[in-house]
Amino acid sequence: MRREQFTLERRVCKVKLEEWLRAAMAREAEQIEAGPDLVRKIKTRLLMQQGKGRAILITWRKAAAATLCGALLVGGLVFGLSPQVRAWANKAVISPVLSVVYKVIRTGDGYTVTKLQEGKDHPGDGGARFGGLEKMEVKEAKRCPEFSTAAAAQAHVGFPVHLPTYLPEGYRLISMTGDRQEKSDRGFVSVVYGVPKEAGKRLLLTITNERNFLRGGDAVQEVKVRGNTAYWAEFPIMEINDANKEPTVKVGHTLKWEDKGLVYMLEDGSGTLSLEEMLKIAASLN
Amino acid sequence: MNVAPLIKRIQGGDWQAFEVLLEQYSGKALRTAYLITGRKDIIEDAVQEAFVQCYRKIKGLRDPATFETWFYRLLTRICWRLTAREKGTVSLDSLFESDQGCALRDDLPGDAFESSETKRLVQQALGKLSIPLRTTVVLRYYNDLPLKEISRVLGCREGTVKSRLHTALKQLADELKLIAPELFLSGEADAQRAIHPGKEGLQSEA
Repeated sequence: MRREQFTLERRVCKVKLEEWLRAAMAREAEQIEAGPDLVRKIKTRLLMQQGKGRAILITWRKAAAATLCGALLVGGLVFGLSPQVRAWANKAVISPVLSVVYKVIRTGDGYTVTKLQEGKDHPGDGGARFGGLEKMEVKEAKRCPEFSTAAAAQAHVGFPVHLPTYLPEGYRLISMTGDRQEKSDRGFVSVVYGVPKEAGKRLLLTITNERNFLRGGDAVQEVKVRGNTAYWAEFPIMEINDANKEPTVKVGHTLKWEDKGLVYMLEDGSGTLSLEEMLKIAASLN
Repeated sequence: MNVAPLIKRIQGGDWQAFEVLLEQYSGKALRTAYLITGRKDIIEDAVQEAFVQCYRKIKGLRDPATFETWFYRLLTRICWRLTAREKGTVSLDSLFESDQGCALRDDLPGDAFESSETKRLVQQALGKLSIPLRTTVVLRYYNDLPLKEISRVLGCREGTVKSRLHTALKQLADELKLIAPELFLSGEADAQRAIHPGKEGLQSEA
């Protein structure tokens, strides 16, 4: 009974409220009347928008937006899908604008670094733009086998591998890699020595049966290693430690000689080892 | 009124037909905008914008018979947008009218006072509803749109419209009970007669 009474009260309330709402809103709205001004304003606004200038403006804006979107879409598709276009853009647009080339020049008492803006200093030069060193396309290098002992390296390359028994203080074996071409029987072994915790101190020993590897053209001094003629040469090493600063050049050394049909090369990338030290290392190969 | 032939003429590019539409709907649109926003200072802009959009988009209206629903949809969206933009400002009309409403109490006699006071109280309660609830109430009780059409105007389900109306009425009742409880005492008896019109008569006859 009470529940029915409650429901009835709610319905009563709703009906009365709806009645009041209709009446209140109708009376409230009565005071709002659309004057002739409103209709006139709307007509004027519409007529203005129908005018030629506006139409041209809208058309021009739409056309510009559509052209821009279309160009972006086509450009994105072309650059995204075509590696040739990306390569062309890199060579013709990105590289001349963004790349900086440093040229290392030998002077009487050392080396100097000169900054070149690619494309400006060598317009249309293409290939030999770095003092005879051509730009080469770098392909992903084949990973060479790594060896833990000289015997293992020797078994792989097929020629004797002699390693130095003397090393300057602190130097240790870092890695030993090598490979051999099956067709020509030519091969090489590359051994890296270094000082732990001093990344700059690296000594590289390369042994190869390819005789062309021995070239004395850039030699600065001829010396003897176990009675064989050896060539002591220097080479510049450019170091870029900070992208915002000019690079520096230090001098590294190589010692090359031939012994029993094999060419040996010791390369000191740190430039800290003297000729005497290098000769001592070379003499200790066993 | 069947508005479909008029809309077809407008869709065919008849400018005069649009002028007729303007004359017919501008007043109702203005009043609807006023009830939704509660502000006189922005309703002209809202209605102008609604008719401009209406003229631009009317060719895309597939069924001319649904013009009213479609137009109210445009109008409510514009009203909501303008109200949101003007949220930080207070309408001078509302300030002025609240004072004027209080002054009427002593000036108006009898029935005029009662209806005016009730109106003022209901308007005061209505003004406290959120915009979506107030819009639903306006479309239902001022524009007399069925629930289905309101759901199309507001872009929601019919159930949501029912729920909004229920919530709005409850809020209004609660608000009115607080500010004018005497309204409900007399209202209950009236409504009982409205729901059971024969019962009272039979009882009195017995």
